[in-house]
Amino acid sequence: MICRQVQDQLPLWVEADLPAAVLAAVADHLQQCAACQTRAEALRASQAWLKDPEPPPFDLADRARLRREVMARIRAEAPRKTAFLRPRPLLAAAAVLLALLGTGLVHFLPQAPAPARPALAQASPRQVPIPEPPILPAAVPARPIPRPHLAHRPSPSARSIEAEPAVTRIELQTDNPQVRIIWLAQAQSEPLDSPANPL
Amino acid sequence: MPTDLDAVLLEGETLAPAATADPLAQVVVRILAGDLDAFENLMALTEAKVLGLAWRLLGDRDQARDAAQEVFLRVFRSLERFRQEENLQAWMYRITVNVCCDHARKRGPVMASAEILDSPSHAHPGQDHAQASVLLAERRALVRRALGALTPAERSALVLRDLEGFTTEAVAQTLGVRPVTIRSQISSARAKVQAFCAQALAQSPGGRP
Repeated sequence: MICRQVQDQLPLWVEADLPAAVLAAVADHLQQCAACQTRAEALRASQAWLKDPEPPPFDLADRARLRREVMARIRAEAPRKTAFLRPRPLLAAAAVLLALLGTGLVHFLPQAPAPARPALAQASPRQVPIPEPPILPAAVPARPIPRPHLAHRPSPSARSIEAEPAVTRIELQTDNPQVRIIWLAQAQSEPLDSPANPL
Repeated sequence: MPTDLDAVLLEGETLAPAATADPLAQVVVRILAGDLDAFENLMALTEAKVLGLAWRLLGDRDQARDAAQEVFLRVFRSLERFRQEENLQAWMYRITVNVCCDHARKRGPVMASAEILDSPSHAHPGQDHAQASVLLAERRALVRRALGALTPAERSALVLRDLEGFTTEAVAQTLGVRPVTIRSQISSARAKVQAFCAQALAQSPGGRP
């Protein structure tokens, strides 16, 4: 090994951080080279200083203060942190109840209509615009109706309350049989046998 | 004979077999079960190491205390993600190094801290101190300044390897880098410390210490 190679290895050599063969080669060189030997001694000295460090300037009071400060913050944030982890009986009971209700509702819900067919209904003014299962009249127009299908039919209740303005309920059946658009509109009262009423 | 670590286990408490290997792991089990007092036990067992490492990495007492506080808060907040098969102390060392590197980056390079300037030789030379202790204090202050002149990566590697006594492989594992990287960093760091000390001694009157 030449001096430059040895001097590059010296910082690792002083702490034996090299393979045995390299350690031996450096040691051999140092026995023959005074300049490298001087550098090695300087490194040994600085390493000795480095490895004789002063103790950290913290006493028991410092440590207690640190613990107190950290624990105060941890106790402040612990309820938030562990809230998700703790088992909460009320929450669990509510979840079970909801699941049971959901299962029951599914059983009682009316089945969706199989075919997507035009629907027609005219609701009374006090009817809540809740989608209903399709009420298909017996006299569905024979002629093909282009989609979206619009149709009107006065409900029996509307017929009996002629003094009040009727609400027109228009249902748009989309291609998806599960999705129906219902629109309630205020309409002028017209005689039931008016030519404007197709039905 | 019971040790300090044994005392943190409640009487009659049983633990999973995997947790009994590392005493600190037993404390972790209790913390994860919601026992906040166990975290205080964990602090009591590790705070001296964390404070000492933070102080060696930052070279400043107040900053080291702030860093140690942040370390323990990070440990608490991320303890759920700690893998039980991992070494807790190494994991905490890694967090300490990361926190201190963040602090050092925010702070910027340090020329000489107030503590170093207040070392006995500067403040009251010769007063009530034997010459040997004065020289020792000067030498330690010099080493601290030399450490302060290193890059954060070099300082972390050197402190863990030469001051904390880790093996090169353990340092690499703790810092999450390859051993060859650690060898390169500690080689550069040792050479810089030696050069710094040599230069400081050449400039000081009489070449002390």
